[in-house]
Amino acid sequence: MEAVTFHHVYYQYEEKAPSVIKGVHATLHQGEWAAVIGANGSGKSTLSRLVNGLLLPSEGTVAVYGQNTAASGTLPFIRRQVGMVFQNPDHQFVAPTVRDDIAFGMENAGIERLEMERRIAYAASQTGISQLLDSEPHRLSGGQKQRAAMAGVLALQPDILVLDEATSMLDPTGREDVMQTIRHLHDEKEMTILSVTHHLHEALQADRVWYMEEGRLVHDWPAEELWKAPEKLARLNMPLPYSLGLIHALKKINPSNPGIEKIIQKAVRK
Amino acid sequence: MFEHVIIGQYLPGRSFLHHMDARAKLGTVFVFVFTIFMMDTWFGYGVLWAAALSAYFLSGVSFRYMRKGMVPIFLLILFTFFLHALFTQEGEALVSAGVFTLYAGGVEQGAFIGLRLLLLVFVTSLLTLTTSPIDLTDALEQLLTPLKRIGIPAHEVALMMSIAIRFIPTLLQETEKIVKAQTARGASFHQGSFKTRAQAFTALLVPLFVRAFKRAEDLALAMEARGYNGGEGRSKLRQLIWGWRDTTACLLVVSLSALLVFFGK
Amino acid sequence: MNVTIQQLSHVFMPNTPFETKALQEVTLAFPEGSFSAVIGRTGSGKSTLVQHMNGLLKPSAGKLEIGGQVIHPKTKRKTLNTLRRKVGMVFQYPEHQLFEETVEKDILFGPKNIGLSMEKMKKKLPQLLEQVGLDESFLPRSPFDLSGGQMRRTAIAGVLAMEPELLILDEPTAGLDPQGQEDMMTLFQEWHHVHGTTVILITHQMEEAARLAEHVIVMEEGQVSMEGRPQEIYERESELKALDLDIPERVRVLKQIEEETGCSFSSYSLSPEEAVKEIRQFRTLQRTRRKVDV
Repeated sequence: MEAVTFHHVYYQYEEKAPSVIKGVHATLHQGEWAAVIGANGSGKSTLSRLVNGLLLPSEGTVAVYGQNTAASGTLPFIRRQVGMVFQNPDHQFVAPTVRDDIAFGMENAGIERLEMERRIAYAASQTGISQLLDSEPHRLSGGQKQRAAMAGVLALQPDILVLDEATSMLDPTGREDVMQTIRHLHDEKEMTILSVTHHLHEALQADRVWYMEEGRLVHDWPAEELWKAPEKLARLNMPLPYSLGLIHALKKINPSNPGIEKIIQKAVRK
Repeated sequence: MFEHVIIGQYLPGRSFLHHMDARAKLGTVFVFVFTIFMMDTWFGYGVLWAAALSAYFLSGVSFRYMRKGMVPIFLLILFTFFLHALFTQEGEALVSAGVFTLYAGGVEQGAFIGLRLLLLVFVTSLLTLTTSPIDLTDALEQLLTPLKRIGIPAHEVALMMSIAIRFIPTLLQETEKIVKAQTARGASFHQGSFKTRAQAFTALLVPLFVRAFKRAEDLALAMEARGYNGGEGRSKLRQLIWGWRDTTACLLVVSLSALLVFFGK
Repeated sequence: MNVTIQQLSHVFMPNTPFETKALQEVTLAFPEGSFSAVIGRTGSGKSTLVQHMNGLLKPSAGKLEIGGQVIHPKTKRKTLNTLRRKVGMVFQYPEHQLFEETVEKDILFGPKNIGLSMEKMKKKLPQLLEQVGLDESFLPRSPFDLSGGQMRRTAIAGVLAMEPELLILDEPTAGLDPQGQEDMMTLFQEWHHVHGTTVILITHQMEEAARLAEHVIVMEEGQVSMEGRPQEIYERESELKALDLDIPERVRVLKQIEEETGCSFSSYSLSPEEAVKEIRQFRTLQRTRRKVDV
């Protein structure tokens, strides 16, 4: 099933301003995880905000489970289906404690109190922050805050999770904790995920890698393919992670080294 | 530099006051403060102080903590005392040094105002020390709800306060960070001419404001993404529960206040 | 500039329930002209340590000697000011400290405060801008109209303009895209190379530390837990893991290859091309051995 479809989407922040999204045409299927990469200013974040109707396309359509985000009356449905986690862990934490923050979205939806408590417990266990429920935000690390934000999203039981550079302000530990949570939600809970990142090695953990350049979605690769053909990334003048760089260097000399490539992949996934 | 100020801080606990409904606490403190302003006799103050101290014994807050929190306030009170003592020229002249003469009336007036200020700070500190900010804003929202009819946006006011409280520590951290960054660039907050200091403060305030606006923008977006749509149709995770303690406390404070206002003069 | 630290301790909020020992008897030396990296997880005391070096914090016990100037618990605040003339500090997300109307004014804020000649400074500006990857056309622009990366470069230029003898960098690449990180690292490498400035880099990333620094210090709970050349630190994989520090991908990959193929690398800091060369040598060796065996 098609979870999110971009149909020839253009977006400009103001009329007459240059478009920041130019003709994006792509589909994200149910249960799939796509990672969006590209330089700063390539339109990655804008793309992510189009998914749940925070921004509406200037031209073309974005649809979530077939519902046009720009059609009147669809927003509540779309906001329920699509959860979002943003970049700055400090700028999305609304309430004075983790518990209250997780509840915020549910309170907006008018969910009944006992049900809220049940869902808070569940969402916190899925994100590994059960012991932090009564903590105040300034006592949490960045990674913990981001996981609290994810819990707040999960409590609304969305099918789609959009992460807009959710790991970019975290230290390596926090980043790994967040990535682990994403993998869990994708593998075990079969959630559909769109994650914007500039860490290539994070992107390579997804099913698909979308490469954006100047507002265009230039490439849509299965991540597996990039391991086999790192030259595709090397051509984009992107600094490659060491593992890919090594595979790339190996291929220059001998196009086929299946044994050693497997070993390299294994080392990265460990 | 802010660690000694206890106004607005919350100390989690299980005392009588902690268990009271925030609405009852907010209401009684309101009545109490009103009564303080109505009082102008030593007898009235004695009774109010006795009441405040009894409330303190029900709060479970340690004496040391309370004392430490009162120290910064005490300087302000001392200043007020001297201001009144020196500039009120009533009653008998006690001592005189140069242009200043200390009158008995002035001393009394100073002591009176000082005690009043101290009492105000004392009871409001008791309120915030024993009530979590979220309960406090919830209570405020509920108490303000009847005023919606005359156009007071109860939900918005409460949400604004709760967000403000939530961001105070963030703001303090950020202030500290920018002070350090600008100090490292040679800005001087503590010494130098008025001009250099004024410039140092610009270097602090501009980035703070820029960040605050950016934060507000991000926060608004995050709230919208989580389906925030104003106060209509919202449910609440927290419940305020009114119990026997609350009824008793309200009755006690209201009757005490009424007695004082009518007969305490 | 030589920096030596002896038995330095720092306690935050002493005699309160919130008392924390951020540094405990740290002894270290940073020789003149060296490039060192301090790594450690959040809260390990690395930021507290470097904030002593330009007088933002005073030791609770112990002392520091920075370019001949001694700082101890009783040093006066005024003396600390003179320290700031020689020590430049780039904070995390330095773009948050911009405040002036123009890029030029903002860059000149620091130099002006420490009394450098404005005329000389203005002459030097074009070159400085070029070094941080901007150009003269930025000078009259408002720093708030720039992109994130350009803002960071402006802020860094503002610190470099003070011509510090000791340059402290607190996670200067945080939050940048890979190209931006790459550019930033090259910038500091070149600055160090050209000016001979003593540099101390705080980072979470072993990879970054290994690339730039000749000396790595690992901090944990306010103490120095490891110290040495990057290569030496790499080798101590289990200790790094215990400290929650990431082992560079480079090391993980090369070790895995060693484990599974029996090939052994001359070092763990090989570039991909160098590693491929060694893998080939190993394979040829294996093949000839097999032939001999047959």
